[in-house]
Amino acid sequence: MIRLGLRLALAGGRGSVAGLALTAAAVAIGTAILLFALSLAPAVSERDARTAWRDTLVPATGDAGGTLVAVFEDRAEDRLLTRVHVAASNAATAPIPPGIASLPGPGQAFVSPALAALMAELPADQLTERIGRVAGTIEDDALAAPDELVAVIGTEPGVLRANGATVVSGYATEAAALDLPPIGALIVVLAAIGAMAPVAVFVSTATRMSAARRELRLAALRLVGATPRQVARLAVVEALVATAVGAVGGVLLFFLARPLIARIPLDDLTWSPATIAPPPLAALVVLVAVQAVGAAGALVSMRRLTIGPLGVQRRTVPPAPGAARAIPLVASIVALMVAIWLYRARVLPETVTLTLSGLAFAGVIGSIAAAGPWLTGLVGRVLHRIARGGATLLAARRLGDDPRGSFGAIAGVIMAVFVASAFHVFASYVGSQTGRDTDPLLQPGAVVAQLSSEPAADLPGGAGGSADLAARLTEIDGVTGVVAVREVALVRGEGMVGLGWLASCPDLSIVLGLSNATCAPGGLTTSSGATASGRYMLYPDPADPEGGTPPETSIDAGAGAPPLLAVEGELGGFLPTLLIDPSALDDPSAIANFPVSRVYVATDGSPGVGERVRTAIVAASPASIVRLEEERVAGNSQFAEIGRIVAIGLLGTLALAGCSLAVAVTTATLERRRQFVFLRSAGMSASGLRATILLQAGAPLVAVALASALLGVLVGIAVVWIAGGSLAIPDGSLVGVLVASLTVAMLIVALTLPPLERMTRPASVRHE
Amino acid sequence: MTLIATLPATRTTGAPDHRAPAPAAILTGRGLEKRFGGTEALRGIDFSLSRGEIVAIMGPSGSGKSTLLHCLAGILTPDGGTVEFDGRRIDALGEAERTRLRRTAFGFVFQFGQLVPELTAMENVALPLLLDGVRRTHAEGRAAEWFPRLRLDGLEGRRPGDMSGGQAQRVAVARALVGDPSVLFADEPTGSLDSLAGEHVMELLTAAARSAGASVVIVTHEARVAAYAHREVIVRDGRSSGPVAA
Repeated sequence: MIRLGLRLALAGGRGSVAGLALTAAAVAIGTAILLFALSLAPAVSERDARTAWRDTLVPATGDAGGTLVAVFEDRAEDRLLTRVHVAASNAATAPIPPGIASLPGPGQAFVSPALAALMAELPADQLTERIGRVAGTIEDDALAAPDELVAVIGTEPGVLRANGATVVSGYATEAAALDLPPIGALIVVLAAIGAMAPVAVFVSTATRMSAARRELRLAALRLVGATPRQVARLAVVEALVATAVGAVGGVLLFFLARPLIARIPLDDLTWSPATIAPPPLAALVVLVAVQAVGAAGALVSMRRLTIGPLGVQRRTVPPAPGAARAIPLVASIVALMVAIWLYRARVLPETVTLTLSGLAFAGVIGSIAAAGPWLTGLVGRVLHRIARGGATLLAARRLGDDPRGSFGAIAGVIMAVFVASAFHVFASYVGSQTGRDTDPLLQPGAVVAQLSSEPAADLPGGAGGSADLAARLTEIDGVTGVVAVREVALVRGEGMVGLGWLASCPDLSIVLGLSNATCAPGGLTTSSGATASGRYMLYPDPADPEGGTPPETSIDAGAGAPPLLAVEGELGGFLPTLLIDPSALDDPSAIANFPVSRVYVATDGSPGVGERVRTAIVAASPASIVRLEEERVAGNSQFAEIGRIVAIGLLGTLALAGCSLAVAVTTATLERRRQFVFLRSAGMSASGLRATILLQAGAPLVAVALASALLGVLVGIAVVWIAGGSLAIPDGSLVGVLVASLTVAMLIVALTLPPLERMTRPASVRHE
Repeated sequence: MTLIATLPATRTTGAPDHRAPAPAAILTGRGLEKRFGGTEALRGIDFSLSRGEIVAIMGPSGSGKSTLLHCLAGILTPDGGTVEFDGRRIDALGEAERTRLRRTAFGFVFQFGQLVPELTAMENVALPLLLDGVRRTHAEGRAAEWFPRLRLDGLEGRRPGDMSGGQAQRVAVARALVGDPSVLFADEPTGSLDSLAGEHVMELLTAAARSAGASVVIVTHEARVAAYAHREVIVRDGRSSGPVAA
């Protein structure tokens, strides 16, 4: 029987083999996508493991010493640059970081290949001067990605100690568990479930590609006496030929496409192709599952044949799907809400509630597949009522006559739209949780440097160092102004009343563009109506203002003579309570006791000046965080990461759904090829054929997709709300995404038209 | 329009009978050649069809008779020779123009399977008009006229799957004639029917064509079917071996 099945599959003529080849190709694409999907989590884990040595610093225990390590996030040419500063606290026990041959001495550095290339490209004063002399290259297995910018820089131990370095006796080899917020974990679980549905639809659609031809062939076998069981076995064998070849092709495609997929950045970094690999067991399960889906699809399509040999020849109108098909959808939505409430209430273990939520979400998607034919049939009936032309009538009748098949063609896109809409809501929520570390005070071309995250820390050399730095920055070509800001704690009476910035008022007004500030002597100017009055004590450490020590100095707002700008509530709370000009201090010489915490640099925006400023600041103070005005850095990286992963998943899902639609439309048209050939012979124009195909796919696509999008938004809002998030109403961009998705889907259908036109040419009536 | 009496035609191989219309040719093919790969399907065949004339193209399987019909109908373009319809060469027309010609001037009946299974009989008959841009109510009104003429009363709402083979063929005939074609092409129109049903279809087809003033080209290998024609053209190995001129 197997041999006969193979013969029927392979020796059925050119058309039969072409059908099998198309099916196998579609299965290969689906398989490859599944393998890539399975590879995402391991690839992220591998990436995290490769950078664990610098992401997680484990302090050394005991007094044996080790290596002093301080890791700083920097930027170069708007790319993330990781600087790992190292020094031996004990040369005998100092462990060498992974990926380099030896511990670099002060002024030396090991750099990643991408950084070496960038250093060669940029002038030394824009990058190299903050790295040092290159002593060697960091090996791949210590890098997150081939294009990662990393430098291991040898530094004086004293400088590192002053900048909060950690002494380590070894390096972590495993990444710390990603501490996702609970709603983040829920979103990731739902995303994984949502992304798989269109893949299943695609594989199932692909295995149906040559079903019509197969049904006719096997019906003939039934006529000559084959039993239903034999026919079913033959159908399975034939389907497995395609899925087996497709699975092998999928594995090949996976390896062929891997270098290209590795170029898709996540978190600004591409991937080492070798790290994109699915877990072997999971990959095996996928390959077997694809065969099972193919065999099951063949058996389902053979149901009519097992009734009788004339089963495929007699066409009867099956009962139209009724509104009862919407009941599972309602039930599964309720189940999802209950599961998420349980998740939030923590009455069951998190794993259980997450699993329940995932299952319920899968139930919602499955229920869409059940309710879809009902809606499609409804669309067909409405279209039939309003049909005026032949194309509309043909499409309407087809939709009404075969709503299950018609919905099957668009099921992938409909599910993708549902998932995309729900995740658009999640993304809106994620977006609302993702702050922007953008300094609203920055003028175009400006640079701000946070000299240390620890306010107590200071530039090397204290005030002299900062003065020296300011002087050096001023000398850089393109720099038009430099203002050093000292952050102070303001104490009045019994407690701290806010923060103050101690800086030259005229300079700050110019550099920050505070057009409404007046620094004229003799008056106190407020920009927001706030007033400053009385005597303020100034302390250097806002975290511990009084700290048992006397204030460094004080100011008397009541005197009103010196420039003192009260700006409470201005600029989104970014500015401190008071801007204080040093001349307002009761003891102007006390300024040296307040560390410079921030430097604002105004530039003319000429090319490279920002990087030159950054290089100068970092060279003087390695722990500085320097941001150029044009750089925008997400403040909540975990939520941003979730958003990125979901976005990549959705793009893949929509692309796959589009492929699924193209395959389904092609299959459906080929199944009716004979009719179309006859119709075209009788004068149906190519445009009529096009209109019929586009209407048949487009009418239910638009109508059901809108319903699906609405459902997705409502489910998304409910999930976020019940899970404890703030109410997240998606913005109008969802409409744009929907329109774009449906347009792309219809374009994909349009791509199938030229070959379909050729295949239904009147001339081919001869072969029918 | 009333149903014309469905008399069986007298067999008049080669020469027009007393009922034959005026000899003005509406459709002619000269020196038609057609190749499919290495196979020569037509080898310089000539053909002529007069207004109102019914011609049967006969021949064994593989002789090229269907290919001749397809070339004459503008479905295929011949590799050699010319086809003229109403004094206008159609073999040199583009696909779009030939499509329009087939839709407006020709009607087609094939052996089986040409009806759209999703459409009702009424919609199937109205389909050519709808494809030609006629409003649906008007198209279905015109289609409805053909149901009594082809003895299809009461079947308007049926689908092809719910009809007998003979009924389906009569619906196909109605569909072919609803647009008032000048020429009706029928390729083995009774090939899938038993002899009784076949004769019934042929009676109605020829009568309806006459009443509509349409010429008919029938491809068949059955003498019984050919008997409804004014004359026969025998095709063998891509060549005409019978009388071709009206």
